[in-house]
Amino acid sequence: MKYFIVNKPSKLITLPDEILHRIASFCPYSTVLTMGRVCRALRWMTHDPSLARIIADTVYQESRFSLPGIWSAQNLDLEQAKSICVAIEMALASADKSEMCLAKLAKWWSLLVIYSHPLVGVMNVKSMQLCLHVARYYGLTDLVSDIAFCLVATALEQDSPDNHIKGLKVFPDHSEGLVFIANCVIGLQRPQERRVLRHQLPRASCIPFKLLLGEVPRHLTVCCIKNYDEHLQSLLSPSFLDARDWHGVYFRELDRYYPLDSINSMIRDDQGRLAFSCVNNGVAWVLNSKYFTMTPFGLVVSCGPAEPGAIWLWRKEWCCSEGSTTRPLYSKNSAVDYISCSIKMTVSPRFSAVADGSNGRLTFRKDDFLLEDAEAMQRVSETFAPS
Amino acid sequence: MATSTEAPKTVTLTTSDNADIQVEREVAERSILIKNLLEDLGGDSNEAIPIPNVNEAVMKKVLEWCEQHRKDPPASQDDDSDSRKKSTDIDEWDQKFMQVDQEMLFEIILAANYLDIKALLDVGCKTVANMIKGKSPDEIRKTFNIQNDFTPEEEDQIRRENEWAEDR
Repeated sequence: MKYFIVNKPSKLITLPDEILHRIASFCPYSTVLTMGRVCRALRWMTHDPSLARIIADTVYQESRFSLPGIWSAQNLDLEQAKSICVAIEMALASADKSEMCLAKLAKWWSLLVIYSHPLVGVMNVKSMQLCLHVARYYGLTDLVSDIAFCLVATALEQDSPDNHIKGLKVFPDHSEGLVFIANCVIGLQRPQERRVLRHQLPRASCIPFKLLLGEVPRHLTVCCIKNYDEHLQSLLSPSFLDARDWHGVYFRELDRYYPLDSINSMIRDDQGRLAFSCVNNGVAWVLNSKYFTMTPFGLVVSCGPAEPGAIWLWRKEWCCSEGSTTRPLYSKNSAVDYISCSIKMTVSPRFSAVADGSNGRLTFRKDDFLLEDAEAMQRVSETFAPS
Repeated sequence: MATSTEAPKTVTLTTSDNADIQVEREVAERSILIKNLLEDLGGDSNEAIPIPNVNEAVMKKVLEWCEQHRKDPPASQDDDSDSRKKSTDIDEWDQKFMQVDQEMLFEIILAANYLDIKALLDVGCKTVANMIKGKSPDEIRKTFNIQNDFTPEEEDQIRRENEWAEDR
């Protein structure tokens, strides 16, 4: 007598959906997208929000990071979850030591920062500083914003190595404001500064970027943090500038940090100036500056042309009492080992360089670059060194 | 039947093709389905357990895996939660175990799902995932003998839908 055998499959597509779902959850999202192109029976995979959320949620598990904050894929809709999955995959692509275009990396990494994804803590701060250095050297303003945005977020989530940021401009526009904050965050992590300020610094994972930036495009086809400048500046209402809600640090003569004892008032007047009063090092201080800019990490106020100093202000609600910091991984086998990867810096169509994240060195591609470009890159390499 | 108190307890499983397979209870209880059935039947029942969705060949293969993994920690309630590891690494013994033809591979996966053996189900799913990863749609079709049933218009639409993700 022949017994019935239910569900006898001979092909992949005869498996029940829940098993196909499980198989796909072990794949990178690019594979899920590919599976959706195989046949109609597998098409649903690319439209399944739960699958995208699972991949977005579990892909970083091996990293063992535990960040405070607001990350959860459960609240993402399908398109957002898909974007995050692709962004994660972009970030992890370098685990295979593959090269990646810096602009694209910054674009996708920015998305992870905006959504407070735990992978933000993995980026190597030194290699990001090198990328920032090159982007500033070549005046790639849009790229400077994006890299500085990622760099600040990452530096706030981990102990940083040496500070390589040079040539600060104290009349900050949006991108240089972010560079200034990056300099502060890394500088404030020096042992002598950290004990004073560490507990007061914001955490990237506690900052509500989506709120600060307004509407965030899901696919970031044009991701330039600079594009959100108008919305950021519009936030500076009297209630938002309530002095009781802010912490601050004064970077005097671009040399020494002074945490502000208290902030008394911040008022934006009709002429577009910011009247700012505080107590700094026990002394009352009033500043009236037209050089200020709101960034996703807070306000930067320049002291003006006469004095090479500036103030970084951030909201108290962005700080987190959990003191543990994340650290990059060093295991070569880890899927999120972002440390020793190379980042290809395609700074123009004509040439490129490769930044080695493990030692901060630039190496040059022999193909497709001009001699003067090579010389410029050599100068970048020479100028990128610890102070 | 007289049994020594020290002899391992055994259970009999009756497969879909009416074969009786005797197996140590500890091994069979890697399956949550069988474990729950045995508990429902009471501790010392000698009744054969019917497994109507799995044939003898597949059941023997599944029990081979259970025997090898009999000392593994029991599956926890969290196994299906977000804490599940994303890694598709498969240990060496399991890799060799899964070197079977595709039909048997899918039968094992279905059996593991039916018998509620999460660890075996994951090994099977990871094996299939590893067969798919890095392949083009055409290569996947060839590997699994799948017909492309999209019209050219549908293919074009899908390509446009995914364009944003391919800009890397």
